[in-house]
Amino acid sequence: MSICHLSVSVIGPGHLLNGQPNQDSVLVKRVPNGWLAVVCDGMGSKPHSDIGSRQACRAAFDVIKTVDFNIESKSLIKRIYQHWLDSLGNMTANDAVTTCLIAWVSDSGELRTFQIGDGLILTSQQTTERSDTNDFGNITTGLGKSKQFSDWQVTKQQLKVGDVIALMTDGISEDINQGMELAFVNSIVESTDGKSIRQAKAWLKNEFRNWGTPNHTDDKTLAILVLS
Amino acid sequence: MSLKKFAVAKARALPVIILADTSGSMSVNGKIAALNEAVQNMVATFKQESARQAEIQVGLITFGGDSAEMHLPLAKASEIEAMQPLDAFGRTPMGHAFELATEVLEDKELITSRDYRPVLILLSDGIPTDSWQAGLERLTTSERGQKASRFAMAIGAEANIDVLEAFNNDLEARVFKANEARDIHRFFRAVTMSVTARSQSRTPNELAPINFDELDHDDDDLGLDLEGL
Repeated sequence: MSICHLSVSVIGPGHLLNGQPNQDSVLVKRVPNGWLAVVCDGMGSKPHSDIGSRQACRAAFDVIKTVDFNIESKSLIKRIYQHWLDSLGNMTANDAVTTCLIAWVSDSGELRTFQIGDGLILTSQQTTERSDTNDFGNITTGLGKSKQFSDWQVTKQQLKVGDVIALMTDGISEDINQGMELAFVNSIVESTDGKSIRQAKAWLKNEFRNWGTPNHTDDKTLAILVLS
Repeated sequence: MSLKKFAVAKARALPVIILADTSGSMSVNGKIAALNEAVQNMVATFKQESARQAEIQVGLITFGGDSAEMHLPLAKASEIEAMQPLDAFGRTPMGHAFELATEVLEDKELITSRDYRPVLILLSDGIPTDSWQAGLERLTTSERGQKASRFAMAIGAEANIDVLEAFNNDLEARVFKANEARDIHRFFRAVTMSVTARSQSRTPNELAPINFDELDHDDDDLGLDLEGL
């Protein structure tokens, strides 16, 4: 099974206005016997959240490329978390808080996902439930804030040829009409079919910059993998 | 094909609910005038801020006389017309004002889970005449009420700070005193910072940096040292 992938990250109007960097990060890479996609959203007010999110993507890759696909979830999360902490140097974890969404798919189509904090991971087979209606839009947890295993959502599923995997920050997922998440992802796959990677990215960036929700402020980051 | 059709057409709102003391004790020493000025300035500030980024919604609950009332239902700051000055009379049903605020916060159609964490601002001389503790308890123990940011500004030199401190849950911005214009400006700055810049914690106690040592070390714990890094 092979993978076609597309990933894009655009800075939000709110950060542009305040002269802040894009605090989201994305990584899609080949790992031994599979593929890895990571999307992270650094917590808005923290001084080093851009670095925190970038290092989280890197930590997931550095750890996952060295371990067996069947590693126990808690052990994997602990290793990634520790690797992230070690990578921060003199920064405190609290200054670099970030969400972390990980999708790790094997060459046989088996998918493992790990998520802490806001955002959405979905596949053709499974759409994650929306978060607690008692919460508000800018309340989240993440690396550097929680050290509880129970704050992670962990899934395992078997995918087939033609299925898609999408990871997105809440700058996108919170602004998609409820129930239309998979249609949204499928629409991107269809719209970019036949385009070069460069053209597809340019089109998607333009769509995110001209997002339909009024007064949208957040950075927007998305990774899509299609099994073929 | 455009992706616009998938995007929610409604902006994510930042609700700000002002609880303004309009009781008889506010009628002396120019307190109601200071309160009126504070409210007018606050709405003007939020109008400007709404034009720049987040859509701020403002609601005004007044408490003076026999009961509190929703003087101005939650509405976009940009659409609020000039406000008439408030009059001060009667008793101080602050607890009832807290109950009204709780009802607004718990209304999931009025404030959705997409919206930003609400901000409550209490403007008072801090001398309630009803069972304000019961109202405050209802607010701070309700599912969503407990997650709101709560600021308090003391109006007048003899304000009862204890009541206002019980309301305030921002550990970085203590109760502000509106004796001078510059104090009001400082208060606005703190609220605006909270509104636009700070990311928020799951519980009010986590507004300050968390002490990870206080968390339980049970099987759920990943055994990581976040403090020393």
